[in-house]
Amino acid sequence: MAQHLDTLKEIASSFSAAYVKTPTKLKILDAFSVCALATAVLQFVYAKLVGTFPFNAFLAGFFCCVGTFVLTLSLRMKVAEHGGKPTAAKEFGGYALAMLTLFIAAVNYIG
Amino acid sequence: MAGPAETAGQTAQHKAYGNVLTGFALLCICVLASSVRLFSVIKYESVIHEFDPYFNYRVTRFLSEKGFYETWDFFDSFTWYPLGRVVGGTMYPGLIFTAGTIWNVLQKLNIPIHVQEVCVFTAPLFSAFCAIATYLFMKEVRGQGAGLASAAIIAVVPSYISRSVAGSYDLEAVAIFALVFVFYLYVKTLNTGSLAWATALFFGYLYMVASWGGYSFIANLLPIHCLACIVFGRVSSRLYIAYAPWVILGALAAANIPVIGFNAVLMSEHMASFFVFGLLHAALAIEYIRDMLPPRAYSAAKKLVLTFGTTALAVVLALVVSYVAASPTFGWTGRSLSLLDPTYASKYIPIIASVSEHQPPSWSSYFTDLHIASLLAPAGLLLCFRPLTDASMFLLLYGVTAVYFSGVMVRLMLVLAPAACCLAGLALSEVTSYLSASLVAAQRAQAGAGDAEKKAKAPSETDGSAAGKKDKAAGSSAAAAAKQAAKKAAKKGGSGGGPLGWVSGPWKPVPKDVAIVGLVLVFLGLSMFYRHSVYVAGEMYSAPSIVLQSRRADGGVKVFDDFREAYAWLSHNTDPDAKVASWWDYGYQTTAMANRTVIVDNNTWNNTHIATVGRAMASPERKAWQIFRSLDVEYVFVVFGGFIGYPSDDINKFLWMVRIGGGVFPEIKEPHYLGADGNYRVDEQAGKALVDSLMYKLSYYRFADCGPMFGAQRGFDRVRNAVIAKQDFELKYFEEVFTSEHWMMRIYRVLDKPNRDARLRNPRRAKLGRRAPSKRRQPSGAPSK
Amino acid sequence: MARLAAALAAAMLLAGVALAAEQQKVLVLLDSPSLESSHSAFLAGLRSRGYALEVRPIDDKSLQLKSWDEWLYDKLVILGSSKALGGAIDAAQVVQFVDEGRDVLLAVDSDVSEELRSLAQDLGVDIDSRGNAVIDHFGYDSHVGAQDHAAVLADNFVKSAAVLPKALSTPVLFRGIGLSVAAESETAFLALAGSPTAYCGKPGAAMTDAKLAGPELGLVALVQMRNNARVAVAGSLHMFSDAAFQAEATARNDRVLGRASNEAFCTAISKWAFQEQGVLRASQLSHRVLAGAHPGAVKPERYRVNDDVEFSVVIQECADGGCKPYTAEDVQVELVMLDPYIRTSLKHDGQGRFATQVKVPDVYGVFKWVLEYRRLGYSFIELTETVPIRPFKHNEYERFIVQAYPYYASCASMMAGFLAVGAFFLYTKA
Repeated sequence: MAQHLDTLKEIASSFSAAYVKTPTKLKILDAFSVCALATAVLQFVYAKLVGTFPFNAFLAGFFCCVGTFVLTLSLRMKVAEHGGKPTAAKEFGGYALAMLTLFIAAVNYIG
Repeated sequence: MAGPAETAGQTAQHKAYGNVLTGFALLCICVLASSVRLFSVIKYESVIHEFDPYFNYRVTRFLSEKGFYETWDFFDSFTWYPLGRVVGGTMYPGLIFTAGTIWNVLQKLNIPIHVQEVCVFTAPLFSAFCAIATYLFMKEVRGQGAGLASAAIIAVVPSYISRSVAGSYDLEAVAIFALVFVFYLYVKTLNTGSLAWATALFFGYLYMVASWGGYSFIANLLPIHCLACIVFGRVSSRLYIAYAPWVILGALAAANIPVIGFNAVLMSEHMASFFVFGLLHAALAIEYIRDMLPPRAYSAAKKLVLTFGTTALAVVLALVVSYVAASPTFGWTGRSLSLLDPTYASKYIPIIASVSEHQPPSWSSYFTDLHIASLLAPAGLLLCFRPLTDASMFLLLYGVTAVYFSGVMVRLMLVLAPAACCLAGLALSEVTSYLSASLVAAQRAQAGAGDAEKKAKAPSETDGSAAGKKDKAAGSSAAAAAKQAAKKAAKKGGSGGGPLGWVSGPWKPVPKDVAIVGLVLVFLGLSMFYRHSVYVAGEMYSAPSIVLQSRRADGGVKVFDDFREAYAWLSHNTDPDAKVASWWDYGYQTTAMANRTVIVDNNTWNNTHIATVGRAMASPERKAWQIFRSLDVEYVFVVFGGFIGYPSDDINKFLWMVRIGGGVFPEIKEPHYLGADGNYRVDEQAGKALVDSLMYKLSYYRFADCGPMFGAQRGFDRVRNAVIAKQDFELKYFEEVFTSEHWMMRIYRVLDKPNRDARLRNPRRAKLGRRAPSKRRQPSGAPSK
Repeated sequence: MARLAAALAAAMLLAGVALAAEQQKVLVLLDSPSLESSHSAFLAGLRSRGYALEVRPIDDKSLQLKSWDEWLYDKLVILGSSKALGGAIDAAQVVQFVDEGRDVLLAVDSDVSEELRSLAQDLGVDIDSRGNAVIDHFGYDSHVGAQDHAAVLADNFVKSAAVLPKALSTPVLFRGIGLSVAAESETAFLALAGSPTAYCGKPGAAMTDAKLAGPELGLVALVQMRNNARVAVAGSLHMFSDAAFQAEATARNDRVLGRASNEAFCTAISKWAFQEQGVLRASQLSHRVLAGAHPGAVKPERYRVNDDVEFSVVIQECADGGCKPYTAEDVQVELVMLDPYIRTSLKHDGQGRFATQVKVPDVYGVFKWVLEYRRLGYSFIELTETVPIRPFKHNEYERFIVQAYPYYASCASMMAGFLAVGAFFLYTKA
């Protein structure tokens, strides 16, 4: 068991060492994605505890967060591929469109 | 010798000409697709066909009167009396809102077309759009040539025509267009990896979900494709952008449509997409971590995950299985289960089994419905591998799954039709390109031997350049293609590469004569296909089942318009609040044309209510009278074909009434209604319960009196070809009010409760002597002289 | 002066016309002409209640009940015995007369013809075989029935205020044939039944086994048809005669019980049969929404689930030409869709308005208000009013539910995060 913990610590340290090297823009996007995922998990736990009474509101909120996570991850992948700034704004346009649609769908369903 | 700039200019000019020709060809295809579906309007009239379209037409009429908002909340108290039906929450709104929008637009342009005409012509219009969508789809998969060929085939493929003639105002009319359009958007997103296209995919999928219950086919096909990509190592950011946002946005879209609502996340049909969603994230995460970590740490992490991950996965799997097993149908709806297990419906749900469209198709129907597409499709399946791209793998999987499902139910041949057309178009365009390229090569070989090789590459480049862009992301195609070739069920293809790869290696042109003969054969095959399709469209699929035609002895046409005659009688001669009972087949037509409240209709959502009507039809007269009075029914009608020989009448459907009624009320047992030899017959060896039943009485009341008119025996039923068992009888609780011209619809009135309680059971009653005869009076009521 | 006389004459003429227009025509068929004089008090009583009587022999060859499609009379009285119906009238036409809402009073005696027996059977009353008589060896009237005990004193009256508003203290003198009604009949009931020792049989013959005896032996039966037409069938002609009206009820041991209440009873029976007694009239059925989708809407086309509605109806009891508010505590209304979802009693306010407030059930469908009031002796009230109940519209559900605040917050936070990330992404040069 201790051996496993050691390997875990080793993996974590090598991972964080590699992660520091990523550009700031990508790190911001990563943070946002993790936030979104965490919010989604929080909502899921809340629904399990309190009950799913307005199920449509739960679904809308949950999917809004997971959708944000997914879309932000997509944007990150695309920006990481290109690496540089010049194309970043163009990709953001598609991202904004998708997020807007997601928000409209979620707000319509949230009741 | 042309320089590079001139070659580039030539190529650009070629492209320009090609685009103009393509546009013109597409226009012709659209016009063809619309026109071939107009036979029913020319041969009969502009009328809505069949049964289900009448409901859609009625709701569209409501929409044209009251508007979109009211239709979304439409509560129909006219059907399923007295339960009512929340139409807004149980219909797929796509078709109706589309037709309503078209009508609104036309009204605003001051073109006062009646909403019925809009409904009748919606299907041909959307078949033209479907051809365009097929072109776009195949352009993404392979190239313009494949696109044009597929569009040309799908424009007239008989299977699609059968469900989208002018007048067939059913969900499939727009749903097939939506299906192909969603596929196009998906493949486009897959190829470009742009989030804007992902948003477009959301809107396309929203339209599909709003249009048809067959959206669950897409909801399972896309995960299968994603899974295949993961397994064969084609994971990339483009796949993620195409698939992952679709899962979330698509689930939200489906949840927003009331008829699906919470089923979007609760029903097993959608679980596949979430499962593959998780897998995709896992695959991408593994790749990311592998990129970030040094190799030693990575292998250590891998070991850790494998040990702990398997236990976690087992726990999750157990949870999911327990949740799913908790529901009796494992979370699947009845109709989906009957797709997976073809025998399910016949064992458990007689209503689903009784619909003729839910039977498996016969072999000949594949050829009738697809003709040349069924011959070329396997070649197209092979060609998907040369080269194998994400998009062509998608087409491959679509074809294979569609073939399986079409074998389960006849009505799913419709889902196979676009797949078969696309594959056939692929094969057709490759063959034609190869042959015509050989022709060009042969011509140039004649012009100069040295230029043959180079010039041969040029046409292949212009044709392959469009396809080449798509294959950049194909990765390790050869090994992957070999693996997938083994996966295919249909044909055993050879390994990748070979003499005809469009991007790789030289290819050998065939001799000029062979090329010419080949092109002529292709042309002949296509013309046979078109001829067959137009014939089938005109003769077989254009009939509105509400009006029947048959040939008279002198070659003229005799029209049987009994159904509309009877509905018109009902609408003019009965109280507006009267309730009409019949078998559920005619419910939509009765509400739409006769404008009366019905007890059960084609939606068949409440099995017990239908079983009550079935029980009433199968019971003796007095019991049936009691059941109908408890439902406030005033009129009952049956469809009877024994007079003219119309085979789809209620006596032939009667065993289904018995089965469905017997499924809920155990006192109705099917063997009682069969003859002594176990067969279903109506002559003197008929089952006793059948002869006593209300259905028999209502169908054959006074029928014996008209038998001698045909020179046949008294009471000869021309459909069952037998003399009926009981020929002369009276009805005590019903009163015949209308029988149409050819006896096809017979309407009866349910008599009221009697005013007096005469001759109830009274043990103290003393017997009467001879009753006095009634007197004859003059017409004025005065005593007769 | 002349003008005044003319005005007076005109007024009288108008009144006479009005009266004549209001006067109901009764056809009285007599078995023999002597009945007119022997039953003069009964007929005079009918005339005094405002009926225009036309007295004819029962076998008159020119009798006509219906001319083309119009009935010539409003009511029919048959005092019949063995003679057949004459003219254009037969049993079937009398049944049709009743089926179209008009009233009949039929009185027979032991000599009843088969035709009249079948007529009564079609109307729901079974008269015993011809030649039988009601005999009571313990309860006979010693003045009239001393020899064969075939004249009985009957006091087993029906307990219904609609038929007999005032209880009768002395028995009724009855000499005639017995009848019966089916036990499960919803329309026919006995107004006067036999005492425990009465039976119907041949006078003078011994009987060990009587089919028709005791309280099930009927002497006078009343039938209230489902269309509220009324028929009275009496087994005795003698009961209506002047002699019976003036007779003293004398019991077996010559004990005088008082004046027989034939006159009061026969008047009550004929009043009931001719819709002057025990007639209920329901009107002004109304319902309105108190709270819900459209509060205050009167007789709306449909309700919404969980609405609060009020249902009201005005019921009056008409007797002797005038109507007064009906007071009863047992009027119920149901809200039915295949089965009743609500069944409550209506409370009246003393002025005849019956009302109740209910909360519409949480089920949507096509419901009906059903008011069915069937009490012995009163006319039937059957009213239905169909009201569909619709579910909530998509914008009528509750919003901003407290339990869902975390979900709203999460959506808002996602939007805020998106804006922040977007601003950073586009406008910084990191």
